[in-house]
Amino acid sequence: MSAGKEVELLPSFAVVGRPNKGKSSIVATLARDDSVHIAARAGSTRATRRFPLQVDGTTLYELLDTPGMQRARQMLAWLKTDCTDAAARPAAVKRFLEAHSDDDQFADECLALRPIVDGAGIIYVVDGSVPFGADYEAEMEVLRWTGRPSLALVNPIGNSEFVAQWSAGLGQYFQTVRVFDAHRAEHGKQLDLLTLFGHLDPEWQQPLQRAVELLEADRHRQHQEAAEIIADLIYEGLTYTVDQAVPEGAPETPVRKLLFARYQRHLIKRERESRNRVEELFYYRDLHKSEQGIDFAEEDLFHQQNWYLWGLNRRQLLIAAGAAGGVAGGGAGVLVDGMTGGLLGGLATLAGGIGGALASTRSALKYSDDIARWSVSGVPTGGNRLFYGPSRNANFPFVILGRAMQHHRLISQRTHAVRAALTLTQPALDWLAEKERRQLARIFDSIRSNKRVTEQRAELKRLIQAWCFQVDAG
Amino acid sequence: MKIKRKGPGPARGLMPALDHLYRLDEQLRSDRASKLEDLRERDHAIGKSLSQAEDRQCLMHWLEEVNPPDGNKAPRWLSEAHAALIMRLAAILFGLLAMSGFLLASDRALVNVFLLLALFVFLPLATSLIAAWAIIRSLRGSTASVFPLNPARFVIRYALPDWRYLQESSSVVRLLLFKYGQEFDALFAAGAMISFVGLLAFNDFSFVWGSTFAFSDAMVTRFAAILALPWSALLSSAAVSPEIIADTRYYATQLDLGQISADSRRAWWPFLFMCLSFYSLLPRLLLWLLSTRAYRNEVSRAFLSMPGASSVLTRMRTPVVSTQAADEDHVDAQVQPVVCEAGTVLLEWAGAMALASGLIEVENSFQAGLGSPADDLDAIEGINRLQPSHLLVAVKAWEPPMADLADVLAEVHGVSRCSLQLVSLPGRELGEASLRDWQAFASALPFAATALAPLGVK
Repeated sequence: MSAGKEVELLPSFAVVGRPNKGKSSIVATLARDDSVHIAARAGSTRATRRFPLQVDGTTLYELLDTPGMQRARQMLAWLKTDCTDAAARPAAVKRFLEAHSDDDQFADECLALRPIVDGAGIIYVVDGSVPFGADYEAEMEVLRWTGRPSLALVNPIGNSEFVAQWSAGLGQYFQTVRVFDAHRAEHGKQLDLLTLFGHLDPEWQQPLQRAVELLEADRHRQHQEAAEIIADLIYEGLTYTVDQAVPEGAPETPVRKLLFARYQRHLIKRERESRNRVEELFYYRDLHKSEQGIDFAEEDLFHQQNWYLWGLNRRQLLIAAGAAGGVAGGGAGVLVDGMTGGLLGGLATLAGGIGGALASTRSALKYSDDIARWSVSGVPTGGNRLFYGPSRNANFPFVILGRAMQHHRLISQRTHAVRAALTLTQPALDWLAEKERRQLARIFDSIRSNKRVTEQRAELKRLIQAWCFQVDAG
Repeated sequence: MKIKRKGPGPARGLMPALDHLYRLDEQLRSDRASKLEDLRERDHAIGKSLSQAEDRQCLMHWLEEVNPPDGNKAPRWLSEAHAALIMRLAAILFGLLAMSGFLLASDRALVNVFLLLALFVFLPLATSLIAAWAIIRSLRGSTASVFPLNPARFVIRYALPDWRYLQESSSVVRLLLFKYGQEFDALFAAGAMISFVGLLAFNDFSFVWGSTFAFSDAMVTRFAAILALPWSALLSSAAVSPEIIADTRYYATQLDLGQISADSRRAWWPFLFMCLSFYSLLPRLLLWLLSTRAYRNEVSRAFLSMPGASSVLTRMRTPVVSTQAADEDHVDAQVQPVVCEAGTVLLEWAGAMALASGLIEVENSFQAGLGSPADDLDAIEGINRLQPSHLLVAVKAWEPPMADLADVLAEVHGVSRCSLQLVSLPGRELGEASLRDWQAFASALPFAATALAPLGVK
């Protein structure tokens, strides 16, 4: 097969339409590229941008974001005078492009139509929030003259008041008409749309199907990696310790302040790094540069008054801690019962369970105001070494988890076309089942007491991974 | 991203060691600062040739590619192997010396069987049981404490690649400590046995038993029979008969050993040798095998469960999919006048040009929207006096259009063409919703021709 033939077979889709009808939003969403924007300077959008889907360097298909067509009526008039035979219409469009290749007046039209004439499929985009008008018919007619496979997308920007009207109007010009909200389309719908692109031409079906499979695998990888990042962050939050030598006779208070500040700074930095990593995983490169980023106040991690939003409330926490302690105590009791051959009639299990639950609940209450614990050890050469950490607060790992999971959900559900701020509207961990809270409390307890840490970390990662996948399962 | 060295292929059969854990941790930490895009490309390029390999092989191969051992690193004056060899020789030597010291302590060549059993059989057996409990606890993930004077700590000092404390490798280090500990104890027991047999060949020891406790012959016979139970059926000569036990009873006041037959005095040694083998050496050997195996499994497990390792494996196996734009959006780096037109007048609304100075070059400009309504009137009068053919109105694109501005523009007369210049915040983009709002606003203005143009600031 020649190189020329390969180029010809590569499916490509030109996203065309009037300016500011959501073309860029659709391209941004499908290409997972938040660098797509309405340029702030006049004239800088007068070029076609290519968005190839590449797998290990091989392109499977290409999306082309084109400038908006603005002089369709004049162009159609030229075409009509140039050609009267329906069979020669595609050739007439070609002639138009050749005749006006250096004409500034039709520069946008030439840029929009060039890839279509070269073999690209047409993705025509309109805004479903504004009424259908007869003035659109000229551009639709021009697109029909190209003779290329086409699909129309109604993008309801803001509202879908006129979607039905558009669907009826577009149906007369395009093979397929679909409603696609670029700002709200979840991952599954994006893949459905790509599958639909493949149906425009039988030769495109196979590469588009492969692209969909690869994008699904890529999504899976994103969730897997995100889960590992979140699990590592929680582990660090549970085990991190800072220390500082205090010379003999020196006051402890300033050192305590210093250590607490250092502890806070480190965990805030780690949380920020983790969030950046998750954003990078989901291909957000310009999130913090966009007009409104994610409204996640960093000091909130140590702002205990807001913990009810991120972690568990007092009741949930006491139940989870009590249950975790009860299971641990009961386990020890079972051992005693087993060793006595059942002579105690299960009394040890019962006592162990109750004792464990009470101790855990007491501990959760006792350390509810302190994030981590202070400890002092003597230094042989004189003075002391002051330690802050690890955290003993039962809610702290839940708070880190809540913030990280909320961030993951917002990022993974957000399309790359959205520029609005993300705000927290409900407590972050409300979706956790009671059983899962208890399970987490047990895992956190084990990590705190350095028991079976590798297994507990793996279990934590597995749980988080399952919750990450749930985002796409709806 | 650069790959440091091209390896020959998958590291088949190669087991990770402590050094690999440290190198893996170092690499994963440094990867945190790298761009994910680069990591995906690098890892998948390495993983391409390993589609059929198992996780451990893949990760080992990956590590050898991205972070091979530092060949330029100066070797330590004492390696782990050398330290271990020193300790092995020391263990054998101490075993030899301990048994020799014990056997040769009596000037009458008397050996109290009970004391020998207590020191060289029961004490090692008890420590073996404690070690077994500690190993099992370690295998179950708990942190078992290790005796501070454990001689294996000396070897561990040289086994660790550097002085960093690696949380992920703590269980591995613990098991390595147990492995060396069991090995040294086994060698100590072997040294003691060699000494026992060697000294017997050249000395005529009298093995007797006696105690301040009132043990009867029958009790001791039963005790010896229980100890010899594992081998008595196969090796009856290594069991002591009741007659020998009765014959070798010894009292501290007994000065003459002539009444104990020479055969009886030496009859204990096969039994004692078997006790040393079975209760001192064998448990240590079994524990050594267990800890060696557990150590290998733990290294492998810790290697694969290192935070970030599973992401590396995922990246190695997932194709690099890219959907983003092939080229960067074009943005001019230099601030150049965007509008430079003779006869044009600029009306700057609410200080919008503060962030876009130099982008518009006009002879006459007015400000409104910030001061008092009287200031706005001054601006209107100025524009009406000039009656420009083209009026530029610079507004903040990120703010919604206000009726205040519409009121001011409604007072402007004699201007046929008006362009709203939407000034964006530096580095920020103009939202679609904002653009639509301004389009709606512009369409309602009382001019013959109204245009809308974004005015970019990099």
